[in-house]
Amino acid sequence: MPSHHLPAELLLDHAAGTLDPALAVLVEGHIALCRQCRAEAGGFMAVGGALLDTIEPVAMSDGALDRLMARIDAGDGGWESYRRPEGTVVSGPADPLIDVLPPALRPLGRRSLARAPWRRLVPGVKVLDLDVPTGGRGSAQILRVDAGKGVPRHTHLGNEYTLVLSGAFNDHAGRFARGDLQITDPSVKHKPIAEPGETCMVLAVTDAPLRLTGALGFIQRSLGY
Amino acid sequence: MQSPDNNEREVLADWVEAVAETGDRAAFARLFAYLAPRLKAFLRRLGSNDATAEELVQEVMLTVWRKAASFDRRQSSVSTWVYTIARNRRIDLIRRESKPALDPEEPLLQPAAPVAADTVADEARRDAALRAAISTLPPEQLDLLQLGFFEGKSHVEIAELRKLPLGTVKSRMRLAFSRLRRAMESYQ
Ligand SMILES: [Zn+2]
Repeated sequence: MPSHHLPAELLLDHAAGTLDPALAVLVEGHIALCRQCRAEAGGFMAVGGALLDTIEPVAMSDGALDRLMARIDAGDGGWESYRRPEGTVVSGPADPLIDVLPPALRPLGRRSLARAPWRRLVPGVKVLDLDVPTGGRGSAQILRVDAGKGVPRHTHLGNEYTLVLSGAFNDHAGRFARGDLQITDPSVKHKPIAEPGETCMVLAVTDAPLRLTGALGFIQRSLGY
Repeated sequence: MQSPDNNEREVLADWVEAVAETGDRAAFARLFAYLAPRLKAFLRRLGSNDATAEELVQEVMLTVWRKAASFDRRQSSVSTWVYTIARNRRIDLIRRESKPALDPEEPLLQPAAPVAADTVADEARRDAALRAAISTLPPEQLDLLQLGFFEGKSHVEIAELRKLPLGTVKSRMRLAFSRLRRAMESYQ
């Protein structure tokens, strides 16, 4: 059971359907790994249902039901019918990432691995760009940090959301293990270190790209990170 | 508007089950009469024009007809189930608009499945507790909750729209959330 959870604002935006796609992936990832937030997400959806009951109705145009029944009689499948059936396997290279992703995110993982390989960020840290649109100038990546290694000290222009998929890391804010969600605002300069013994993989989404600070900043720039 | 009491909740669920089991058109017509004008109002508040809102209502109600068998009255109310369908349809549309070149089969375009209710012992009672909490929210908190849900407004946008300091919007939202969370807590 994770100990760092989704704040209510993200649960509301999730239920309202207003999260940008990258953040939606992160929220779905936490919900898949956290029973408590899964229950709360269901509760916020029920708030949506309750608000729908209390909204002032607006009359449909004449004949709306007849037109719908005509579509049904004509066998119209609607928008649901051109979606990929659930469980369809998207092929892609085998990778330890797939095993640590919640099942709902595996197609995204496979697609991302098929599009571009892992890149080395600094010794002991690899990064994979996720194939998902990000809000504005944000980013959505998987970081794979070898046991005992750290992500260089960095800040970001926007908020950074980190979901642990495997292993654990520690930083100034405490210990974060599988399923834990860390949110850091732009004022925070932090240096997460993976715990010894196990590779730490995290899903990291930023509102705006992160910036390495200090001497390593030039490496970031030369790597085009 | 009053929200449906427990009895109405069961009646709506009976209608969906009648559609699932026997393709009952009369039951579907009653569902349409209840749900379609509410969905239309919801979609209008989200900024759709009248014609687009009606088209989307038709899509959502078509899904209600086709997917009626997947409704489980132990997991959610009909209103919540239909709200989730409308939400997913909206996500689907926005993602298509933002990246029109996408393959329609792109898995990205498939909003996640509704959250599994593996976690709630008594959904009907939690739903009732939530509705009671919503009905006793101070009007200024309910207003912000509706803006967040129905118009997808961020805190900053709400602050501008209501001419309130951002801090006030945030603290009212926090108060509303904590009341809702307290109402849910005992049932999960
Ligand atoms: Zn959680």
